[in-house]
Amino acid sequence: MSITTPAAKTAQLLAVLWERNRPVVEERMAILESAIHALVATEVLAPEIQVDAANVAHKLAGTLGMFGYPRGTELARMMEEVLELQDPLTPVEARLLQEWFTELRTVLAK
Amino acid sequence: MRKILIIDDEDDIREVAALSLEAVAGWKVVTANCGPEGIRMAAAEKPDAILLDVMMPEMDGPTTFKNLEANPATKDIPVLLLTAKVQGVDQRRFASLGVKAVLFKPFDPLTLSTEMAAVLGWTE
Repeated sequence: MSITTPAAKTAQLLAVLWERNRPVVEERMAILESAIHALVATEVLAPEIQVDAANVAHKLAGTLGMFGYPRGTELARMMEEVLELQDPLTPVEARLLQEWFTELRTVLAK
Repeated sequence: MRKILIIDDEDDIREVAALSLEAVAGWKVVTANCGPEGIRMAAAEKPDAILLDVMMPEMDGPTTFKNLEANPATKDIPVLLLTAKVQGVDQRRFASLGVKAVLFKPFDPLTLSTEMAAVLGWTE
């Protein structure tokens, strides 16, 4: 079946771009996972690691929705807001980050 | 045919925005991956509008915009800022720069061109 409408063509090309950009998304997820793992394990997060994690959460928030993952954008945005806090992160915040990250993994696996 | 310059350091954003504007609206798209390259391309390509990312290393969007405004060759090109920052304080700060509009990431690739055309007053 041929693709006839601009919308259908765009949707098809978006799927191709998503697959092409998956490695970048996985890299960002790995940075987030590593930071959250360190926070949960040690209850502290080095400032430079927290900044990096906030930056990748920001990038994920800005891109996942355009690939059809609006919940992914929501979760990444919530993580970004917590990671941008100036005060040391609490165990409660660490647990929230872990829960949101797990949900994000599930969302992206669909 | 309308020509749009996209300035964004993220490959995926540039690719999806370019795809959206070319495939959905039929516009010509040129891209730059940093502020300084974007400033050079704006002067050389004379686009009808510029879609400019806020957070970029080396030179951020607001600084890039100020450079575009300071150059007689590019000062009249409408600039639309593109940001993933959704907090009101950020939105007000960006809007106060004097850009034509502030658009938000993630954008819908199927409606980005419609949104841009609306704020730019492009009716055809």
